[in-house]
Parts: sequence; C-alpha cells; structure tokens
Amino acid sequence: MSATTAHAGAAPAAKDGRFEPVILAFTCNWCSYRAADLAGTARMKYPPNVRLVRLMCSGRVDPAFVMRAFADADAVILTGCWPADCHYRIQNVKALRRFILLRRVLESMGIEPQRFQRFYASAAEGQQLAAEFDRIVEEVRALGPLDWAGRHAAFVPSATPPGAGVGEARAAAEARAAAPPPAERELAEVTA
Amino acid sequence: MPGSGQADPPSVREGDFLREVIAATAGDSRLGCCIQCGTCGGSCPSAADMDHTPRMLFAMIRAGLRGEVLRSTTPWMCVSCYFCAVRCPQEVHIPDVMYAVKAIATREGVMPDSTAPDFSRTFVSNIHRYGRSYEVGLAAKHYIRHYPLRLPGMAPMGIAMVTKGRMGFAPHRIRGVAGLRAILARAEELERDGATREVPA
Amino acid sequence: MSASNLPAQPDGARERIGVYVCHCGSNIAATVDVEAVRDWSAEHLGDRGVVVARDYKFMCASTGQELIEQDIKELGLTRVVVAACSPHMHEKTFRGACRRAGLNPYLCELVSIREQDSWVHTDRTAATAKAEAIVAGGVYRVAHSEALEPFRVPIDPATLVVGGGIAGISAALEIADAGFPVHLVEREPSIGGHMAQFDKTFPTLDCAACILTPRMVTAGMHQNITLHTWSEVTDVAGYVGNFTVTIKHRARYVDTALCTGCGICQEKCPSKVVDTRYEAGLGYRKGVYTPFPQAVPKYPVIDVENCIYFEKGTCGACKKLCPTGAIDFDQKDEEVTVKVGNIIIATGFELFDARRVEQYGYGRMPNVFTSLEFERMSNAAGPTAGRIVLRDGVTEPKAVGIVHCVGSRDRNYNNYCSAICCMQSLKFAHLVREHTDATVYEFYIDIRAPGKAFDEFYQRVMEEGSVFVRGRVAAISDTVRLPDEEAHQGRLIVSVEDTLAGVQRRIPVDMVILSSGLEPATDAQEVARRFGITCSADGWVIERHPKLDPVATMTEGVFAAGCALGPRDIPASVANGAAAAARVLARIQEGELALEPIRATVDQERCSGCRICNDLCPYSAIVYHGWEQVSEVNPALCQGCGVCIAACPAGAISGSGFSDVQILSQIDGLLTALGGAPPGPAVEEREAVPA
Ligand SMILES: Cc1cc2nc3c(=O)[nH]c(=O)nc-3n(C[C@H](O)[C@H](O)[C@H](O)COP(=O)(O)OP(=O)(O)OC[C@H]3O[C@@H](n4cnc5c(N)ncnc54)[C@H](O)[C@@H]3O)c2cc1C
Ligand code: SF4
Ligand code: SF4
Ligand code: SF4
Ligand code: SF4
Repeated sequence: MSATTAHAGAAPAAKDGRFEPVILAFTCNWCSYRAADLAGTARMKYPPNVRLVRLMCSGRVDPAFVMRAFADADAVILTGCWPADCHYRIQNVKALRRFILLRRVLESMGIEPQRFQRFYASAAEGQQLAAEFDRIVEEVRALGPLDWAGRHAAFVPSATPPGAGVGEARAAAEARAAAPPPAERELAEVTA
Repeated sequence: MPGSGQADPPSVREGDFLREVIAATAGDSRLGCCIQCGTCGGSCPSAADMDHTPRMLFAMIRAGLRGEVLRSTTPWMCVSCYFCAVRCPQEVHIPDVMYAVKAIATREGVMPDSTAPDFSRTFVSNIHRYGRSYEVGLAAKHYIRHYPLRLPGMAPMGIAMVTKGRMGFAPHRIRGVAGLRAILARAEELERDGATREVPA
Repeated sequence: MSASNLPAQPDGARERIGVYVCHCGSNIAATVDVEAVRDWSAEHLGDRGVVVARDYKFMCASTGQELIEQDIKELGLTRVVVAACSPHMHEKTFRGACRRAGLNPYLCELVSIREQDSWVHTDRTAATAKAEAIVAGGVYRVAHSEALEPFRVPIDPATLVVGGGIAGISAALEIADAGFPVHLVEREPSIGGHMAQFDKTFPTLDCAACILTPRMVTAGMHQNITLHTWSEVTDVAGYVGNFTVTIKHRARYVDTALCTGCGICQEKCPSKVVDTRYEAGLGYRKGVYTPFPQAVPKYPVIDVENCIYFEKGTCGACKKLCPTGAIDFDQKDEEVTVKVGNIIIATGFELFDARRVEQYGYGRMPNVFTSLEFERMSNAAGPTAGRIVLRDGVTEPKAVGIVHCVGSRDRNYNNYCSAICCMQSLKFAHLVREHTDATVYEFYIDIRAPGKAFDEFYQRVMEEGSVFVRGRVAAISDTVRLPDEEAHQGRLIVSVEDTLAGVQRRIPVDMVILSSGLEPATDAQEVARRFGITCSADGWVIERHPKLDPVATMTEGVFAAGCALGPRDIPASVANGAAAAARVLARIQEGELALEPIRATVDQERCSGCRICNDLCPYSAIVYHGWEQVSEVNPALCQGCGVCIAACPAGAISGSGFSDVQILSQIDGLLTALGGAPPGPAVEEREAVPA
C-alpha cells in the first residue's frame, strides 16, 4: 500500500488543526475551465480545497447539482464566461438568473451567502480565477464546516415564537430590495 | 523632510515614485496607463507657462525624477480646466494627479522657484476667510507681494471687470462659513493622520 | 510501470473499468503520489467496477496508449479513465486509442490531475488526496457514459456569401472556381466594397481599380456565382449543411433582363444629389444611378427618395429615353429563397464618424476632410479628377496635416487600434506630395507599420520630405489667437504637443485629413443575431479561435472573412476570404460533416409541453409540436450547452455526453467518502423520480 492513507474526498490535510473546507466549483468548457488550465500551465497556486466539475456551459448547472454538492461540500462555486463572451451567446446570463434564485433558496435554508458564490473568468483569467479561489477558501474557512447535523440540532422549533421567522424574512426581503446584492445588480446591468 | 529625493539617483526611485503619486491621488488616477500621446500637453491652456508639459511630467514621474517633479512649476500652473482630462484617450485623471503632486511638494516644503505656490496659499486663505474666492483681493495681494510695479498696468482690466459685473469689489462671504471651516479643519486632521488613504474614493 | 490487478470483478458492478494514472515525467509525479493514487483506485473503486489500475511515465506516448489498447482487448475493459492532463490537451488522443481497440471513444474519460492539481498545488498529501477524488469522479461518471456516434449531416454544395467587398468577392471566386455554386449578396447596387473607392493601395501603390475591377467582372460573369445586389438577407433557417436563406431583392425599377447598361437614363435624369456613399459626400450622382462606371452589375437603380417621378409623379425622363424600355416604375421588392450548406459573412466595416470628435471640427470647418473623402479626391476618376484642393474646389493647399488615430485607441470612442490607418496616412502623405508642393505633417502617436514592405514605405515617405510630429492632435481651430499667427488668418491651426521636443505647438495648415478608424457596420449586431453568431462588445465577429481557427465562428457552418472580423488590410481580407472558402470547400468535398454528439434530446413521454425550454435555446433548436403538445430538439441546430436540460421542470430533456446522471455521479465521486459518509443512494434510483 502507498505512503498516503488519506482517501479521496477526505478534506485536504488539515495543518495545525486548521479547518480545511471542501469546495466544489462548476466550470464551463470554454472560459473558466480554460482559465483553470491556464492557472495550471502558468503554475499559479491556489488551495487544494477546490475541486472542479467541467460542464459545457455554466447554464448547464442544474439546481439539483448544487443541492447534491451541498450534501457533502462546505461551499459551491459557479464560474463561467463574461456576459458578452458566452460561447453559447447568452446562456451564462441564464445561469446568473438561476444563481440568484438558488441563492435565495439556500439563504432561506440558513446557508451563508459566502458558501455559494459565483464569478466570471475568461480563458485568459487564470490569475483572477486563482485569486478568487484563494479568497473564497479563506472566507469559507472562517465560517467553519457546513455541518448539517449540528445545524439541525441547533434548530429548536419550540424555542422560536410562532411568526418570528416571518418578520425576519420580511426584514431581509426589504433590506434586499433596498440594496440589491451584487449579482442582481449585475443581472440588471447585463440584461439592460 | 525638505529637499528629500533630490540626491537620489533616478534608478533607485524608479517605480517607487510612480507608486507614491498614484497612492497620493484621490481615486483611480490611471497614471500607469498614460501612453505619452501628448493630448494633454496639446490641450493645456497653461502649457506655455509650465516648465514641463503635463505629459512630460508624467514621464518624469515614471522615471523616478522625484526632485525635479516636486520642484516643477507644472502642477502649480494647472488651472484645473479639465480640458486634458476630457480628451485624454486613456482617461488619466490628470488634474487629480496635479493636486497630488502639489500636496506632496507642499508637505515636504519643496516648492518650485516661482510665485505660484504663494498664489495658491493666498487663494486658500481667502477660502478659509470667506468660503469662496475673492478675485480682487487675491490679485491685489499677489501683485503687491510679487510684482508691485506691474499693479498699475492691471488696473484698467480690473476696473472693466468690476463695472461689467464679472468681479465683485468687496468680498462675498458665504453663509455658514463656520461650518465650512470645520469641514476643512477635519479634512486637514484626517490628512495629518494619513487616514485619507483609507477613505474610499 | 506497475499495476494493481484485481482478480475478478466484484458482483454488482456492470462495467469493467481501467484506470491509468500518468506521471507526465515529473510534472504530475513531483506533486502527486502517482503510485498511491493507483493503489487507492484499485482498492477503493473496485466496487465501482475498476478492474485494473496502472501508472505510467507518459500515458500519451504511443507505449502508454498501447497499454490501454492492450487492456481493452485482453481484460475486456468496457470503460477507461485516464488521469493525466487537461481534456483540452489529450482527450482526442486517448479517445483515439480506445477507438483503435474497438471501444467507443465516448466511453473514455480524461480527468485532469495536472493543470487542475499537480501544477497548482504544492502540498503533496493534499494534492494526492485531491487526485484520488478526481479519479473517483471520473470513474463514477464514466460508468454512466453512453456509446455515442458523431452526428453526421449532409452538406449542400451551395454557399452563401454575405457582403461583396474584396473579402466576399475573393471567397466567392475561390468556391466558384472549384466548381460549386455561390450566392453573393450585396446590399449596395454594386459589389466592390470600400476598395472600389480608393485610388492607390499601400504599400505598393498599385491602382485599386486596376486590380479590383477584373475580379469584380469575373465574379459578375462567373457561371457558378449568382449575384444578389441591392439585396439583403432577411431570414436564415436550418443548420449547417442545410440552411434555407431568404434574400430580399429591393426593387431597382430597372428590368435587368432588358437593361444594357448604356447609361442614358443617368445622363438624362434631372435629379442630382450629393453622393454620401460612394463619393463620401464629395460628389454628385443622379436619382437613377450606378455608383461608379465600372459597377458590377452594370444595371442602375432608382433611388426613390430622390426621384421626381416617385415624389411628384411627373418627369419619367429615364422611362421615356431608355432605348430598351427597361425602366419599370411598378417593380416591387421581391423575396427569393435559396438553399445553402455553408455561409461566409464578409460584411466589412464602416468609417468612424469623425463628427464625434468635436475638437477636430469635422462638419464645422470645411477644410477638415475624412480619409474616405481624401481617397475620392485623390482618385483620378473622382469628383475633382484627382486634384488635391480645398473645399472651394480650386485652391491647392500649401500645408496639409494628417491626423492619426481619430476615434481609435481612445477610451472615449474605440479602444482598439484600427490597424490600417497608419499606413493609409502614409499613403496620403505620399499622394499629397506627388500631386502638390504642399508641406505634409503626419501627427501620430506611434507609427504602426508591421506588414511586409510597410516600414520601407514609411522610410520612403520620410525621404520624400513629409514632416513627422509625434503627438496626438489636441484640437483643430480656424481662429488665430497669438499675435504672430495673424498671417495665418483663414487657415486651420493644429494644436499639438510635439512630444519629442516637449513643447506645445500650433501649426498652421490649409487642409486637415482625419484618419478615422474602422467600426463594424451599424447593423453588425443585428446581422450577427440573424446568422446566429457572436460579436464582441465592439461589434466585430468573434472567431471560433482567435489564433487556430480565425475564419470560423462559434456556429457550425458559418464562417467570416475580412473586416467583419476586425480591422485589417486588403491582403489580409483576401487571405481570409480564401481561407474561409477552403474551409467550406473541404466540407463540400466531404459531402457530410461529423458533429460532436454532445446534444440534448427531449423524452416526449415526459415532456409536459410547458415550452419553458423553447425560448431558452440560443439557437432556436427546440421546436414545439402544437398537435402533440411536446417540444423536440433539432440535433443539427443544438450546440449542446445544456441550458434547456437544467431548466426543464419535468426533467424530460437529457444531454448526451453530459447527462444528469453522469454529472451527479461525478459529484458523488468527487465528494464521496467525505468524512466516511456513505456514497448515498445510487444515482439511478434518484433519477427514477422526476424532479
Ligand atoms: C480610407 C481607407 C484607405 C484604405 N487604404 C487601403 C490600402 O491602401 N491598402 C489596403 O490594403 N487596405 C486599405 N484599406 C483597408 C481596406 O479598405 C479593407 O481592408 C478592405 O476594404 C476590407 O474588405 P472587406 O470586404 O472586408 O470589407 P468592405 O470593403 O467594407 O466590404 C464589405 C461589403 O459588404 C457589404 N455589406 C455590409 N453589410 C451587408 C449586409 N448586411 N448585407 C449585404 N451586404 C453587406 C458592404 O456594402 C460592402 O460592399 C483602407 C481603408 C480605409 C478606410
Ligand atoms: S493625454 Fe493622457 S495618455 Fe496622453 S500623454 Fe496625457 S495623460 Fe498620457
Ligand atoms: S487641467 Fe491642468 S494640466 Fe489639464 S489642461 Fe487644464 S491646466 Fe492643463
Ligand atoms: S493604425 Fe495607426 S493611426 Fe490607426 S489607430 Fe492604429 S496607431 Fe492609430
Ligand atoms: S442544449 Fe442548449 S443548444 Fe441544445 S437545445 Fe438545449 S438550449 Fe438549445
């Protein structure tokens, strides 16, 4: 048997007891996967916590893929071409719309927005891709493990007065309307 | 630290000074993107009175000629007309860079051998006092201090401007001048603390 | 090389999978413990069907490929996973190896542990663990891959060329000469494009008409070329190999069957208008006109907006005087439909409108000219018969300023360099010196002369005595300001910083020529939409690959050539035209085209007819059958992006090569064994329940 006993999927070797998140990133065949290729060819470095899935287009990302990923991963990243550069004309904009929708669903499930992020990377942006991966890994590391079981245990329905959640949700919705988060603003710009 | 930089060989300062000016400029100066086309120098109404054209000043900043740049009259002659900025093909924020160079030069007391810095000081003190520019006072004070003999020659133009309503004889003081002074004092305080760098543009 | 051979396939796993881990010399092996990955795969992925796991120094070498071929034959492998470099590097290589051994190439998965792992990480333990996860993802996924056959479509031998400039003419001639039919569509009354307006062409200074006219005539008479001038494509349906194109012939009001091109109508027509198109506003044409004497075809058109008959119902001089009775005021626009297999877009460029740079005063100061105006002026057949004169039509200039980069290299207008205008400006300097005694100033930022014999031409223009001032012109004015300028009253003053001298200069001249940049045609985005291709934000057609596939577009069967792709000179436009023709001819010769079988299909049993997918597809590949109330994907139009698959609420659309079950399984593999969690229910079970 080999020198390593670590097995696939195990979180990257935790050093000094530091939490090492597992992050799944969806990439598109034409831009962001090529950016990852470029990051490799240019020997740029990013943390090994990120694992890539290659799709033909970011528009291929089915919400089911994201949900499946969250069953085991601590965070999920969507990446794709810049709005005007989509190999399939404008499908990445459709992916952006789906992302916004999905993030709301995940938010309502209590998943922090840092755990579900997206960015563009053209085939030439290996550097940017590596930097974004760096940043996101740091953010998720700071949040700690996703820990479904712990979250579930912490949720004690009886301790919550009926209707309390409704007020919070409304407040959140109002806050969102007042200052749309970046992705939504971006969508408005892209589709304007 | 008056006189700093004058003895440095350019090679040591190269890049450092460019970074320094970029950091001292409010917002994104885009100074690193200048293509040396000269649109600014060709457009500038004050270029004839400058010792270097704006373009040349930017080349000197890049070359790390810190002393020469800080002692240049160019930023002091800039009248902030923004002709250059609207035409610059690279959207370099030229007048903002001029302000930054003036600020560094003032802080270090490295002034060009010219009356321009003094003119600026008089101008600023008028702002402190009245909350706005006071042309007659500014011109009178400047000429009395630096060119007393030329003052009579300027009188006809001054009189013409006053009679045509282009210039007020007495200073106008804005309302709430105290408030403005408080703002300026706070700005100075922030600058002293170096906090201006942190304030997002 | 070594291998971990497992004696037999465990029960339950239907597939027999081989895993091959590459060292890539030390490119992978230096960071990833390749042997460990091999052993881990053999040990932990056995229940997923892995029957053999090997490592090898260079899997892509012929010996590496032979390993795979041998195992397929001897161990009866039904699936192959290679863990090596990026699929963009060697997917074709390993799929080829599988095909040679009789395994369908789409049953081979190449997963990257180099670009996505060993090259971007430094921690050996973490990189090895990640490689194992990546291999697991590949193994889980490949188990659900299906044998696919490339999709074959027949190619109609006819070709549509849109745009009759030099690029379009060149493409059309190449294809027609090879014996295949071409439809050449041009929206002006004549083919020729911008080149037809020029006098001389840089750098060799050959006469544009002398080299262009014979080509235009050949194209016009070619038995394989059908010209559709004064026409536009209004609709494109179908897909590569089989497009149906609708072309609108605008009414010419001249019966081309009768017209002999004698020109009497033009001569007699009393309506005289400024010709803003061909003469760039410097000359006149008639209400009935051919844009220039060598026009192809020779038949004129009637411009209804400037025809007295159409305005007032009177006149009719042309009709009365035409010796063959060819004038027909009752003609109507006509639509024709043609079938073609391929399309070449050669719609060229338009000149940047110099009016937008207000400080240059074009349109305000008469002696500021554009480059196209100057081309017409210097043309012996042009409005001034080749004399270089001021707007008054008589005065020769004593000094001429040529302004580079008008609207180009400028974030206020276009960011890009228009590529041809430096050379075109040098050409102008030469022409001014040739025709007049004027002093010529070239105002430039940089001289961009990288082509063959270009810099030599620059040298020549310098030797001829033109003055080069390095500085972008700040402004042009017609008012003198300084006392010593009094003598120049009435002339133009060019304000510029002479950047090499470091001083501001105000240079008096009599004439200014603005070397305006090149812009895409105003309707470029619309044309792109019609043909299903993509444009950059600037509006130029995007190549399939800017270096390796420069005349193809992202859409199968649609190619592009000439300035439609971006600014370029005549030789490059001609080369593009020929290259696009070569691509088309290869396909016509082949008779059919094999397309990647990555396509979507609708399971009509599950389709609820909601039509959500219909509008999502950017290629309009999904049609709705109203009677059956189901949608269907046209496989020849589908490019396989997968947006519809992800959006279908009934889960009725599946994608070959990137199916839900393949991707979900890959995610399972990538994340499985995380913290010892069981892999979860098999994906097939989940799939059975529609979302
Ligand atoms: C002032 C000037 C001088 C130049 N001098 C030189 C020179 O000396 N040497 C040199 O090598 N290059 C020169 N060039 C560059 C040269 O003009 C181009 O390289 C060349 O014309 C490109 O040819 P094209 O066929 O791609 O485009 P174009 O010449 O623009 O032809 C495009 C054609 O397509 C037609 N078209 C457009 N849209 C449609 C549509 N939707 N449907 C149907 N038809 C359509 C247009 O009417 C036009 O006929 C010069 C350019 C300029 C502006
Ligand atoms: S106009 Fe802009 S780009 Fe040109 S020299 Fe001045 S600052 Fe540089
Ligand atoms: S803003 Fe200053 S540098 Fe720019 S043109 Fe005006 S005076 Fe000259
Ligand atoms: S080719 Fe020359 S004139 Fe034209 S945009 Fe480029 S640099 Fe300017
Ligand atoms: S996969 Fe993409 S291209 Fe194909 S039918 Fe679906 S939306 Fe259209």
